[in-house]
Amino acid sequence: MPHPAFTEAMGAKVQTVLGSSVQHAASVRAMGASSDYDVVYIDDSAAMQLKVEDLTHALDPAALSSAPDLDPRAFGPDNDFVVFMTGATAIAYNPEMVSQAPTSWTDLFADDMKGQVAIGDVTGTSGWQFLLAVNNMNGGTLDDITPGIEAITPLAKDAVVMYTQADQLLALFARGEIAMAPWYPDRAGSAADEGLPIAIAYPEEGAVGIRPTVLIPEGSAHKDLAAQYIDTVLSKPVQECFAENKYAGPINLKAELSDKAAAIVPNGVTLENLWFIDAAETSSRLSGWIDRWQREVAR
Amino acid sequence: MMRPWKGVALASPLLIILLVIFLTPVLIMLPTSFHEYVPGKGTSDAWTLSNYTRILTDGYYREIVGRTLLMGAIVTALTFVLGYPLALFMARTTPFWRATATLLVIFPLFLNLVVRSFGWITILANRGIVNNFLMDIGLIDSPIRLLFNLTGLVIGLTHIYLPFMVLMLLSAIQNIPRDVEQAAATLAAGRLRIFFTITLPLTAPGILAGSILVFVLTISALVTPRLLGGPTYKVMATLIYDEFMLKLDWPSGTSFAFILTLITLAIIWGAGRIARRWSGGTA
Amino acid sequence: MARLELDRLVKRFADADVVKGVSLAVEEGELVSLLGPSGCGKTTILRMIAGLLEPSGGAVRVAGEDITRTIPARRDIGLVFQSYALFPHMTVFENVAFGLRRRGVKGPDLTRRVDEALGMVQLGHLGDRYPRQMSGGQQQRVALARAVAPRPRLLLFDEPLSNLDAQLRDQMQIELKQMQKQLGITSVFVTHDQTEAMTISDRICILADGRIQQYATPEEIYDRPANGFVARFIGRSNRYQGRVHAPGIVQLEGGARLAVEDVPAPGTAVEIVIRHEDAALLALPADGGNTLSGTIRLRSFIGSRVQYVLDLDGGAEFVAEVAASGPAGRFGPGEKVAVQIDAGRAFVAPIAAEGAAA
Repeated sequence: MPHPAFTEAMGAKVQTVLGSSVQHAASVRAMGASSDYDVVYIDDSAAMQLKVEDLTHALDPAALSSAPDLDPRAFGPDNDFVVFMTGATAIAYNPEMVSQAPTSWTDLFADDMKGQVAIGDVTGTSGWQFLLAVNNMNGGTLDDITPGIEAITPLAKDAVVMYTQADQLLALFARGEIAMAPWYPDRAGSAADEGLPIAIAYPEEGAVGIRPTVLIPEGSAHKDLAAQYIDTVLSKPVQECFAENKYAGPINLKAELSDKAAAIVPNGVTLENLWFIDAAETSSRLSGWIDRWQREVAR
Repeated sequence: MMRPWKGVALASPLLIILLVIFLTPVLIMLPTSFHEYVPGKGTSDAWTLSNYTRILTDGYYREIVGRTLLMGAIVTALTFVLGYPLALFMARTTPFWRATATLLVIFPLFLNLVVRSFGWITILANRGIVNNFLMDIGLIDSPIRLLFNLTGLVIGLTHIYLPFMVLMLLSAIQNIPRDVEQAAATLAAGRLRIFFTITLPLTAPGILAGSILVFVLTISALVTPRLLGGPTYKVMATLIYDEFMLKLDWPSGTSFAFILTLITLAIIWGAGRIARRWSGGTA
Repeated sequence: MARLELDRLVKRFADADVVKGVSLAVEEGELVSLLGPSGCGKTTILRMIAGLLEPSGGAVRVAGEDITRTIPARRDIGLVFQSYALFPHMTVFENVAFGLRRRGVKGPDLTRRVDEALGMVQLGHLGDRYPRQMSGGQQQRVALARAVAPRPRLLLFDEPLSNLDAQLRDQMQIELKQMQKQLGITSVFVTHDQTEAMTISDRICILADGRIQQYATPEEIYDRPANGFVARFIGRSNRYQGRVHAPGIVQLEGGARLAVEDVPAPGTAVEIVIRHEDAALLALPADGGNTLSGTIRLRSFIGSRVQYVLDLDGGAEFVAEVAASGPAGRFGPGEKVAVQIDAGRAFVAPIAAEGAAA
């Protein structure tokens, strides 16, 4: 978090409240017109949901000094939120258990992987994104996820765990209980730095892009200060810092990467191959996907 | 003899505060459960009963309600079966052993629920202590699934709620005058006969209180089912959590919560009637 | 129905010996009271007879059969508790039927015997009640009926009447004795109330400090206490320190001398015990010897008798109780009188020998 730099520049203290996207969405919704939060880090579908409910305050790109350097796809509709990094759902694997790095989502379905795979629950980003990637591969669409559901159901039955918390994977990899799982490059990179046997691979079909956003709740009392804070987050040095330390794919195209970080974060070909799913499309369908997953895959 | 209404009058200031604290949020949420949630748009203004009828008509929801009640019944029965001998031992042993056992029983309550649930994960996981042991001694070839199903949940919840049952039973057993059991002994009743005709019926109030407590805690438990049940084994509490926190579908979540509350109240009421009959009106 | 025999019964708890070798026989159909101050071991002995406590030594025999290690359920006894100990979740009928059912009585036979037992305690009409719907006296009657219904060989009573009020207690004592005689069941009755023991017992066993002090009929215990403890414990009495002056003569600390039967050797330090009702008060000048003189300080009228508190000339106090109708009933405070002691009814015990029983 770019708090020290921001505090130094602006003389304003930043207070952090941790929580998941949906928890934050619920809080923002509950607090309505007078929000305790001035800036919310939240995933794009939840951001879309808040925008639809008119709970977000539009940003003014002209007032942000980093705006010209950003990936043009960074701003959401009506500039109600802005992507601050590019993440992905790719394949994490244990290089000690898997001789050759996986190259495709189908590697997770291989017979010799049976009982050595974990998949994410649909309520987590990696879960529904993996579902959509498999669905896509099998000829489904966002409006018809039956092929994806049918393909994943047997995999889910054989899976070691259907994880709900990314941290659950750490223990599973550490104990050698799983060899492969759909996961996030940034989390896998940090775990590898801790000495866990984890590497990241991007499937040739394209990993699924994740666009965590920042936004200002409509009820914020310090909207100008919040905009300045967001500008700091998007600036080249902060973006580079995120990428090198936390393996967050930079959204600021001016940012330069070390070789180590370049192997992990989406960039170049892997960035080009990313499949970005429209947040507006997902947010209206996610609830339906959850229902089907719970009834057919997880039951 | 104090008239019943006098007691109510004495307790009324506290009663009013408790009612306000507990009932107000409930009543505020009630209207929410009668609106429809439209994904991607939010809660609509139109009134509907569909959130309630869905639970009765949708097989998935019925299964979850059913398994929640089954889980509550199994955990209650297990804590009773395991807790009664323990409570009986504690009630009848020397003060030293009673103090020691009480400490052992209460000690887990000092530990955070999440820590205890994670403890069970390391014990019950595929590469956990139990499976490793069974595989080491060659009893099984591949791990048995002990997590993310009824088994894991029942084990974890039984462990977590056992102390409540034991403490309720202990005070009930200690309330039985020894004279009464000894009187039965002098009337030619053996140990088993005394236990089943005297001790057990006389502890009915404690059994009832302990069972209601454990049952209600079990069917409303969230943390342990989330950790030990996971996404593949949902119960009502985790379902309600998902509706609120993951699907942002507050109307459905609220209606599930009200149905859980109604089930709880019905069970408390029913259990009270049964126990009153069983104990000859002393409960 | 059977003879009960206790043979050198001992009970040792972690920190103390409570019963120190008690041997006692209760004849068939006899009612014996165990009487003594609290802590004397009487309840402990009763519980060992019932099998609720295991003796540390000695034996309990009923009809010659050793039941020392037999569990209570196989002893064929009935025990009536001070706390009644009724089964609160059962009706009166079921309470009384409990022991009968355990002995295989059922059907019309069961109903008949329960009704019979309830009839004996005048509760035949209350079989459907629960104990909590009854008074303390009624509950104790139920407890009694429950204990006698199976007609056990032995009836044991653990201070059964001490929770009842005085009037009810007097009435229950009579009823209880009548019933016991009618049934002829060998009985042991624990009490700390000497009047109660006197009223109901065939024989009384006086206990102190885990040992038998005297085991005899009520009359014998009253008239001929076996030692100083019994003398002091039974009835209300005046007690003085003194010394044996000559054979048959003791000298009180104040200097006065009395003739007393059965005294130890001259020179022995003794305690002299004289019951309130064992002295005659005479107007001065008095005829006959063996008198002390004193002044009446208080006069209390208690129905058929009058109680006087006197200051003896030597300074000690003397309490006397005399018939209100006789001449001695009409003295007033301040009058000087003679207190005449019956040499056969003053009890003298050596002080040194009594340390243990004090």
